[in-house]
Amino acid sequence: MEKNEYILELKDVHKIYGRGTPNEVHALRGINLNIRKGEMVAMMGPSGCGKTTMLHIIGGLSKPTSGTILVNGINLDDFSGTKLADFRNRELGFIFQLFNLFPFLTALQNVLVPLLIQQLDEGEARTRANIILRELGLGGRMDHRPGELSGGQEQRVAIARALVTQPSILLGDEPTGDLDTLTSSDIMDLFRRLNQENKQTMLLVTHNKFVGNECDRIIRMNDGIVVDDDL
Amino acid sequence: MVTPTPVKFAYKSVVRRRQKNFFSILGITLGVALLAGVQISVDSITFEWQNMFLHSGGEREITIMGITNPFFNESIVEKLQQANIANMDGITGRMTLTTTVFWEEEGTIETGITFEGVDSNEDDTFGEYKTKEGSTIDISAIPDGNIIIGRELVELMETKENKLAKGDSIEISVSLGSFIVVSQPMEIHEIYEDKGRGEENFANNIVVPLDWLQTQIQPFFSQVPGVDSANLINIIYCSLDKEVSDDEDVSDVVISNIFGALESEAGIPMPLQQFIIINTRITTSNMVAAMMNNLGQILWIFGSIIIFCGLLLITNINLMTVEEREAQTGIMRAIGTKKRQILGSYVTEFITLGFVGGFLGIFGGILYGMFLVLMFGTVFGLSATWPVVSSQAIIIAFVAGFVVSLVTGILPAIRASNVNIVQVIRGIIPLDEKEPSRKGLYGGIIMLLIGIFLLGTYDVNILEGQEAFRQMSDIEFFFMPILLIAIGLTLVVVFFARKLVEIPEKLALQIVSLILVIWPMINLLVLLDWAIENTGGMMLIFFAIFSLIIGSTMLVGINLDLVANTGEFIVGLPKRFKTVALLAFRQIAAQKTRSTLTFAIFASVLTLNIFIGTFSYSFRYGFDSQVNESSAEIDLIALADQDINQTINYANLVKESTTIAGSSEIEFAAGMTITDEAFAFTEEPVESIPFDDPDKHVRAAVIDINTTDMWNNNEWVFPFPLERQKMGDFDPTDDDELTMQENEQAWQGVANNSYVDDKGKIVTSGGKPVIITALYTQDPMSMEIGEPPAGKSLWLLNSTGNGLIEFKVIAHFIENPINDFIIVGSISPGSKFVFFVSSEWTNLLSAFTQNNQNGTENLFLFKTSHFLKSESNFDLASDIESWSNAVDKDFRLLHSNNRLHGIEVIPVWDIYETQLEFMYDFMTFLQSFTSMGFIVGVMGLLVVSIRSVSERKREIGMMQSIGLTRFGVILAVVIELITMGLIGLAIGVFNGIILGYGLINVAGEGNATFLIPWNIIATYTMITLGAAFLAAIIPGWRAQKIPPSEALRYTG
Repeated sequence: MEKNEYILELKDVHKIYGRGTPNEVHALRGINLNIRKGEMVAMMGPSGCGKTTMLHIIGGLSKPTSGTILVNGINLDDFSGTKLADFRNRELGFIFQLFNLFPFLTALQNVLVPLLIQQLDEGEARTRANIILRELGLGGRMDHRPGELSGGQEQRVAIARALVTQPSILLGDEPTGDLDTLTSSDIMDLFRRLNQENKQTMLLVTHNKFVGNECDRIIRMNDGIVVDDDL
Repeated sequence: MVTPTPVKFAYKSVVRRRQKNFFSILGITLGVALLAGVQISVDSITFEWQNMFLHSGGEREITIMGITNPFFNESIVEKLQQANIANMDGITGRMTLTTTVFWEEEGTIETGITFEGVDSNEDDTFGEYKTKEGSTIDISAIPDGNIIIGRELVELMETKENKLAKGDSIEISVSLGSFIVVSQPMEIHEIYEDKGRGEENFANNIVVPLDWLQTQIQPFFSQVPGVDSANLINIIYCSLDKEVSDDEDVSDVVISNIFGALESEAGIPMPLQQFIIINTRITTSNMVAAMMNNLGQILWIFGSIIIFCGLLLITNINLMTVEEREAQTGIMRAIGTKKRQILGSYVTEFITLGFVGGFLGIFGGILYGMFLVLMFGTVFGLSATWPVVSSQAIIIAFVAGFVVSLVTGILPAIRASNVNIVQVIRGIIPLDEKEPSRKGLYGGIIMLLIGIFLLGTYDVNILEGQEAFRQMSDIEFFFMPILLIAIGLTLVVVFFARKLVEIPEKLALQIVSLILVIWPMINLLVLLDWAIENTGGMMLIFFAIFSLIIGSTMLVGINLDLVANTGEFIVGLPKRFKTVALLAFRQIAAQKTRSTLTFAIFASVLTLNIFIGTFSYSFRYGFDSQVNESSAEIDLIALADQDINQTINYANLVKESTTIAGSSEIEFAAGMTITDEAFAFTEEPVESIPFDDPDKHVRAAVIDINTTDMWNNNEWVFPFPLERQKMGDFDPTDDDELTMQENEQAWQGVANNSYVDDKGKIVTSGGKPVIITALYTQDPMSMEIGEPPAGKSLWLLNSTGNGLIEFKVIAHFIENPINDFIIVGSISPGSKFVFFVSSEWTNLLSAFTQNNQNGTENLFLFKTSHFLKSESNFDLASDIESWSNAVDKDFRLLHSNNRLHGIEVIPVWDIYETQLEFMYDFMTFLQSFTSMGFIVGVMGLLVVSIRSVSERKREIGMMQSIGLTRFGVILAVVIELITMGLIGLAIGVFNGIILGYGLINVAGEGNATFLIPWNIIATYTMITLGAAFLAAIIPGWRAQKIPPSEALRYTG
């Protein structure tokens, strides 16, 4: 029971880019971190301090040079490529600062993709994508491609895509970084609501104090280490 | 803020984007290689052929032969030498006869071999006969009864087991009509090589000393009063000074001087001796040039599509280069870079890439050319040489590739430099302008006007309907004007209609692309059937190819959404493929231009390859039924080098033989006589016979026909098909097409020695004897059929050689095995004919009497109980040949003279196979030519896909971040590229079949059955799928290996 208390556990995680080359960068220097289920955590720090790297490692997009990442007590290292892909699809929701939407798909199709990966019935998938897009105020923009949407609308599509599979963990890399204050506030309200209603764990990388303040906990990083954790 | 200068920026772009630029350069290199390769191939092949044909002529630039009598006194050579004709380097007289060579040990027989008496004092200018070791063969040292023989002929006769060598004996049989000149075994004194004088006829001759041969022929002429029978020759060769040997004007002057010198020789002791002087080298050279012109035209037509693929490739690569940097261009603009600076940097970059790619492309082109020359050499049995790389080819390819690279790069760059900065930086896709463009209207009006103008300049009125499309030249001409009018009209009508009613977007483009597809189809499937005259038509094929490729590609490109939706639906039917189907097909539909350019490469090369495949397949297998018809029930043909007395009745002896295993399978046999080359005049002589006017006489062999040759108890055995084009009101009641009954009547007209009047009516008096003509070599200089039309008179020399007999043409004999038998292997400048005349007239014609051929036979036709292609016919032919030629056996003993008559028996099917072999070889070469284009196209696709997929690292990272497996990522890319390949394949198969059908109609002149080559299509489907898979798997595999976090950071 002790172990299940934390949905995420990072133990002495190191990440070195360009190891052995003149351009070697020690991005993470022994991170130890535990995050509880349903916690809404902000990760703050100056640019280049290793926030995004840590987020990518937690999301299985990148492997640590050393150290262990446990999700629900399971070591990510034990996952095969396919299992890891399935884990990302079912357990994680990614929101990126640059939205990272498929430019050649409509808003609806972008949201459909993770559901289709789960081999959900297309009709049901469309219904779910439809509902979430409407919830996010994009009912009239479903057939628009990312290039035809505003920044805020694009980010909402990205959020819809991240949430549509009802993941247990939502990872956001500057989710409001490209947005104006009003839109940022709307989005944070949405995160808070989802966090409370669905008990989704949220880990948000941000520079924005407002975002940090909206979260339950703020972890501060500098130069690849956690310097402050208001746990 | 620092504004980069264009050169600095371009320099950085070139240096820093090494991998991408490598692929850009590779794309341009491949494109330029295709451009250069086609030109180099055409040049090299022209050169090869010129060499081959001129090589066979040795150093003999001018040939002099007798018309009225084939033999004349060798003193003429001396007289011509004494005439000191300027620029004439050497002159020699020879006696050239034909022989049969029989090698008893191996049982091999070769007929129609040149047996040449060469003067041992012949001028060195004609070269020397060389042995394999390089030593010169002294003609005067050849002992009596010995020969020297060419290496090529030796190789024809010997087998792996049995080799011919010096000291071996082979049996030789030379005759003049029924007179035996030589009939004895002769010992091989030396074997000469295909060099020096052996170049003449590719070392395929037998040579003896002239004086020995003159002695052998002496008895034949000794009875002719006034003939110095000891010093006869029948051919004179002249060589010109090396530096003027290719100069047509100088040759003409020399010929004119020879005529002058001959005229002054009144003392030649032959009655009414007339000469024909042939400008051999120039005529051959011109003939090859004309042939190459046709071949070059074909290569260029196909090559132009390969070039088109090269251009598509360059365009695609450059478009990619500009598109991927749109955001970067926006940023540059945002930080204050001026438009001209952006443009300048692109120009500098494309100049650099174009220059490097163009330069490397030349080497690629040379390699491509080398491959094709090697293929050409292999297919046609020539020794491969280094390709001819003319400066013109290099410059054209380099400049074209360079300019296209620059233009296709700069046009999108101009567009990019004009973009809305904010939109580009934010990645906003501007909506298409709904307002109809006036450019379309103006373009439409211009096309309309040009089309109407072109129609107005032509003298055939299109309003005559079907009648206006009777000639191939008319169909060819009408293609472009009608296309322009149809497209122009569409653009104009749609422009104005859009102002009045709401019509779907891109309607004009839809209609235009449909016109581009449908109009060539109408031409190839309908109009060609209306044409009576099917000669030519290559330009129509050329127009049709491009119209079909552009139209079909446009049509699919415009409707790519529909294609993508369908594809997505089908591939996504299994749930597990739904995601990859969505990603792959949406990608295709979203990038219309790039997708269209990519499948257009496949569509073009596959159109070309399937077109050639279809044509070649139909040509190869579709002729069977036609050959059956053309063979006119003849299964075997035998030709005797030495005429056989009619009374012997050789044909019947074969049929009744008890020693020939299959003789009982012969249902009918006939014997005829075919003469050596004779002369006929095409105009009635007014004062004297126009011997010296080559425009007024033609060369022809004459065949005698009588009722026993073609009828067996009143049953028509050999239904030779006839055709005719009529002259004036000759036979006004009859149609041009002859029914089988009319065919038989025409042959009966000849066999029964009928007479016709000027209206084509059979008359008993006052008319002219009938003649059936058959053209067996047409003059490739003009490539026009020189068949005299029915109703035309022809005048043949009478037996005295000083008068003419008028005949009236009643029909043409086409596609017949007798002609084909004669022409196999013979390539000769100028038009030649075969004339069929009644046996009643033969003893009155010079063609028969000059070689004493009356009362003899040398051509035999057999009808067997087997079908044409049956192996039994081949076995029977071999048995008859053995029976007829073996020493001390069968036929030779039946005459108690044991003489070799040199009887060669060939199954008719073999004749057609030999005849079509050249076409097959040519097809094989064309397939290599186009396959190479296919391979380069596939390489281009690889380059495009590697560039394209490497640009999508970020998207691939995104796919993985939302849970798509690595396999899913690769599958999405594979589906995308395979779809491109399949679209290209579908277009290629459709176009290729339509074009193949059209070309079979044009080239096969309606004689071949159109067949769809499913095996070839299946092969290309496999190759296309394989190529597309390869093009996807390589970049896809590389891309999925990049860690997603890294891929997501990718910004291009």
